[in-house]
Amino acid sequence: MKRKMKLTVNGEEHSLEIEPHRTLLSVLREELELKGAKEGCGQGYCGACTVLLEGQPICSCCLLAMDARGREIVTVEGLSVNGELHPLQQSFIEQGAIQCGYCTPGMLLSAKALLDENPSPSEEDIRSAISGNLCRCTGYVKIVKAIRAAAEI
Amino acid sequence: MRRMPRFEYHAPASAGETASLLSEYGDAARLIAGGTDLLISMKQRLSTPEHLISLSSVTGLDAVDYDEKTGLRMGAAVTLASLTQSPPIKDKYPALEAAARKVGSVQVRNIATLGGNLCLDTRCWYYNQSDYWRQSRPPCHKTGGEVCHVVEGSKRCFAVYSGDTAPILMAMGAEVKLMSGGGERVISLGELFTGDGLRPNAVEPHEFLSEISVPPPAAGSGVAYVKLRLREEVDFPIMGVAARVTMSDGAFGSAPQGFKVVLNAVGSAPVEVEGAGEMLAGKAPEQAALEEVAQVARASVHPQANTAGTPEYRRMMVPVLVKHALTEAAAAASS
Repeated sequence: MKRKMKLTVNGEEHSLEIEPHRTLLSVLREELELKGAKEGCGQGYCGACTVLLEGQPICSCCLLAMDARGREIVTVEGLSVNGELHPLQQSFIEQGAIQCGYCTPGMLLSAKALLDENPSPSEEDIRSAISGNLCRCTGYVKIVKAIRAAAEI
Repeated sequence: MRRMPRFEYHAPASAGETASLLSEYGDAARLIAGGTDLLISMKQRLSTPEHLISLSSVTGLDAVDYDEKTGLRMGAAVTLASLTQSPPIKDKYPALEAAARKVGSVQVRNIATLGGNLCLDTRCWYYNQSDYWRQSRPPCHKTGGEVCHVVEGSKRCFAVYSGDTAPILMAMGAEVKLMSGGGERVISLGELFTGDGLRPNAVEPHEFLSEISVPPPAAGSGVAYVKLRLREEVDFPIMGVAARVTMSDGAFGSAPQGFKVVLNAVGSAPVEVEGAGEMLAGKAPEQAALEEVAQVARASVHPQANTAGTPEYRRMMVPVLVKHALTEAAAAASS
């Protein structure tokens, strides 16, 4: 049976009718057409599905959309403002911190949560903040560099 | 990964409503707090409840209170992340904060709850797999069959308990409150674990774990949890040790009850090393005293080939980690 729920995504409130077995990831991707968050492992190991819930990174594949009702979600699509890329996104491009791009949305959001709390993180802080995000292209060095460069802006 | 199976969703607003839904649906219902363990087992069709009762709307179940006389009380639905940020825990129970930080990843800790971590289902290489993968073998005990793929001919299940917060809480003498429509009961955390791989905890279908309490830290005591895993983030433990010691004038305290050593991820429940207090009490905190406990611990466990790390390696690491945990706990007690 479908249930009515409200979800605030990237500042916009959505009224949805969904089956309760849907994960937050599937609702974001399939109902709201926000394809930034990816399904990797589907088990909370890889971090490709990372979104921010009340400002904190979570695995959207392991959370029922119903359990996120009424709460504030930010996806990678919510990072840019009026078509201007977020400083982290700009930095990822400039530093070449993107290879296949599958982990990028999750990396950006984990990095955003870090910088929101700690604007001048050490390399260790950065590594720890993205330790729940796997990059199978293994481009970690440039990702860490890009986050550090964005912090310096 | 397969999609989630369908179910009816309930979001009770109070503990009382939760209890009455549980007694109404019994075995057909499962509780969901964070869901980081349950949703995966549902995707893998290890669990297909008809009803999910979400704790997301129950008020007061995520509170953390500290009182100098009565100690710490934590609602079962407090997330592991908020536990690591809670001032009384950081201040009075730093080892609990450190153990909670060792669970999963940042993303998991932001959703996963303390109650869920304690009630974590036991795990096994032959069990935590997709239904498609499992079709290639006859069903094991834990999936309703009659064989064990780990120990040939075994009549019982060897699935491993891997929660990282249980051993340290056991070492600190924690108790848990189980609520139901008929009232509540308080048991020691050790009694929560049955040691049965099939049904690892003693929470009855009509009950739910609502609160975890820990006595105030005793003067001169220190606790530590050491976790061995392949990667320093995300992974479940391939073995772990929690230790509590009491120090007095640079030596171990004279009361045996001031000591506890709990081994993790080597069996279907966290297991206390028997006689650890007697072996340590009143001794100088040196290698000889630690070695005795470490060897008793090694002899008391029989890890199987059902998680990462060979049984030989895990068994060999038991004494290493026991000494490490005792040393860390002694340092914490002296500081």
